[in-house]
Amino acid sequence: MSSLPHFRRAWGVLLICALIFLLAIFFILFTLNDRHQQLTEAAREDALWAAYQLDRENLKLSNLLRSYESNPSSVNWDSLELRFEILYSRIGLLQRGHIGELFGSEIGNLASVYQESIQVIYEMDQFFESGAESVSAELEKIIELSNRLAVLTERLVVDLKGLSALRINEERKDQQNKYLYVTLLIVLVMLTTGMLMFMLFKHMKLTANARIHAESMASDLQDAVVKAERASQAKSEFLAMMSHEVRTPMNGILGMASLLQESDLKEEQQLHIKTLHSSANSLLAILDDILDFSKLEAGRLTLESVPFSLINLAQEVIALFDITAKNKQISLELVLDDKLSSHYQSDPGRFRQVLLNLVGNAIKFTHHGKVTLNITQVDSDTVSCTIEDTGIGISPEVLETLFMPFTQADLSTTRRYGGTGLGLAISKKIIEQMGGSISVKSEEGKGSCFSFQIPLQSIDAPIANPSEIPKSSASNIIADAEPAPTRILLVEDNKVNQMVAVGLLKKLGYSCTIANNGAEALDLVEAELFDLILMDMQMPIMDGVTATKKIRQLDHPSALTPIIAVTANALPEDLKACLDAGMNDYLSKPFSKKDLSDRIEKYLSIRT
Amino acid sequence: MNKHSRSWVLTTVLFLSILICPKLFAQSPEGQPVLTMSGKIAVTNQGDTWVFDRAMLEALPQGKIITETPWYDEVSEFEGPLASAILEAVGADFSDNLRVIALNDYSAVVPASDFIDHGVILAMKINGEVLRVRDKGPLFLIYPFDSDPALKTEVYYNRSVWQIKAIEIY
Repeated sequence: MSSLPHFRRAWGVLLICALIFLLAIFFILFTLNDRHQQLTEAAREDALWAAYQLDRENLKLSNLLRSYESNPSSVNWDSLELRFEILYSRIGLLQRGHIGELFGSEIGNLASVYQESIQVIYEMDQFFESGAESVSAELEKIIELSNRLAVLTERLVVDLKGLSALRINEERKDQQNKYLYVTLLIVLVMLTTGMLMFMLFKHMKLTANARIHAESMASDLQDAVVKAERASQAKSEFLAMMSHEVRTPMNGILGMASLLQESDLKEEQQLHIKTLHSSANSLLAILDDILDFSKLEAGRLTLESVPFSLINLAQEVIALFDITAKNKQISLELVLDDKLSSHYQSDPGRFRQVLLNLVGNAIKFTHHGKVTLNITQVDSDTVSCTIEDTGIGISPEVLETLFMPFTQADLSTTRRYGGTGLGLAISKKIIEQMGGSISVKSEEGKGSCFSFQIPLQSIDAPIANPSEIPKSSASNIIADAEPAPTRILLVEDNKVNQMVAVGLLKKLGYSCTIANNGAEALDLVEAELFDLILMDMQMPIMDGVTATKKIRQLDHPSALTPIIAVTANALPEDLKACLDAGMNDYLSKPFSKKDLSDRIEKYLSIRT
Repeated sequence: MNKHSRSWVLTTVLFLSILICPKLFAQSPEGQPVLTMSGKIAVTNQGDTWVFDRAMLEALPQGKIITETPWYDEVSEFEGPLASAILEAVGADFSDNLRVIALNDYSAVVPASDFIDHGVILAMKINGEVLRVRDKGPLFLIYPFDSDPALKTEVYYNRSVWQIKAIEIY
């Protein structure tokens, strides 16, 4: 690349050289075709011709004079006079000044010969002017003059011829030189244009190489990007797997803590358990965040599209933080636009997650004043949510990286307020996946204002949620029905989880049979009819999905038993695999007592 | 072109007149013969030729050309009969060629069409003075060199014969 300017300068020089050479060629060709020189040449020939004519006319006159001398009656005076007149007329050409110019300095000697010739003719003219008598009388003198003239004109012709030949020779030499120069110049022009062509070729080759280089760099970059993406993907998958792996033991810890809490304990032990429980809960929240974020990074987050009431959702969120806000003595307000529709079609769970995160943050970083959640209908299919607080605010430097993962206002913030710093990154990703955008304005010490806009499809009438209606009627039925002994089969390989589940079920008033894996469960259902099966997913010998498929294929009433997957696999495709295998529903580990009772009640009621 | 066709009409009229009343034009030279026309001519007054004396030439339509020439240092004024009028007087064809012969028997070939196309004259006077033999007289074929640069070439200089004594049409 650095050779390009160098190239350009060389080009300029070569081009100018070629042009100069061409101009020189034109100039020389022009001088070769010089009109002046051509005229000079012609005039020189004329002069030679004139001298020759003079010589010839003198000879004719001389002959006539001799005839006249020998026999005067044989010659007509008129013709004699005409001869002389013709001879006289030849002087004109000799007198012309420019003949001298034609032959240059060598003319010197010739000039006197000219003058002498003219003088002789003038002398002759004096006799002819006087008339025929005078000529007859002085005939001898005239003949002598003619003889003198003959000597002079002969000399003139010979000398002029010689000079002309010399000149022609010189001019030919000059012309040859010019042709040589032209040839030389043509060679030079060819050389320079040749060099130009060579440089052009070289330059083309250079640019081609540069392009190839650039292309290979681009493909290297592409490879690097692919590698980086793959690495990032691997990282996300690793995080997702790790958090999933951690959730299983966490489930045990939480379950055990709940069970312990219910048991007879000293006050101090109660406090310890409470702390243990809340710590485990915090840890779980962090795990959830990481899991969510990993899924988002891996592009595995699938959004639901169900009808929901945005107003109810917002009120629920506000209600959730009501106590916290009251404890911190800050006011929490919800402002709803009149134009909002009653129902929208979207993913309410993710919408709630975003609102919880933003409102939670606002409350977390506000110590006095108020937090306001404002929801407005921007246009027919866009909703805007604004969360404004009078909290500590965010510095301009931090604002730039605020939505990056694992970022908080600063390290001291982390120490003071806790959290993974993933909340905003997750919220941003969710909003973007929903087709919206989030922005923030903040002034340190005065407060922050987060607002996001998302396209939300409003729907006129909510479609009845099939899972809600039976639930309400189910509780009625249960209330009316006699409490019948329910037979629940728990399929779980992990002893801790077995204990947690058995404990929770016991609290809810159910007893259960335990199978350690899918194969054991299959044997049990063939021997006995259960009301409900709680099925773990990953087990040795036979996993949950396989066991479910086999149960559904049985030629036995047990084939119709509701099966609820109990899994730590929260990824959508895992859940889909469960439902595809024939399971009725799923419970995500770790689950609460309420989650469990809700599910059991739902399916037992359907069965009855 | 217009001039050409006009000349043609003139030629035809002359030719017809000659046929009807040749004697009227068949005048003989009274003075010294100056110009002898021979070859393809329609009329004769001396053997096979037509001879002009000075008076006859002066009686023809005259022309005047002021031009620079290679033979004189300054611009000169030439006067004499129109060369085309001379050809018309003898009923010559303008598509023929002419051999213009000088006193010293030098001759040049000139296409007769030149006489119409370029308005050539056979000059008898230069700057008001009669051209003597010693001054390239009696007749000097002059092209209007200054009015057409194309004439300033060797071809026309060579056709500009001086000391003309005869013209042969062939």
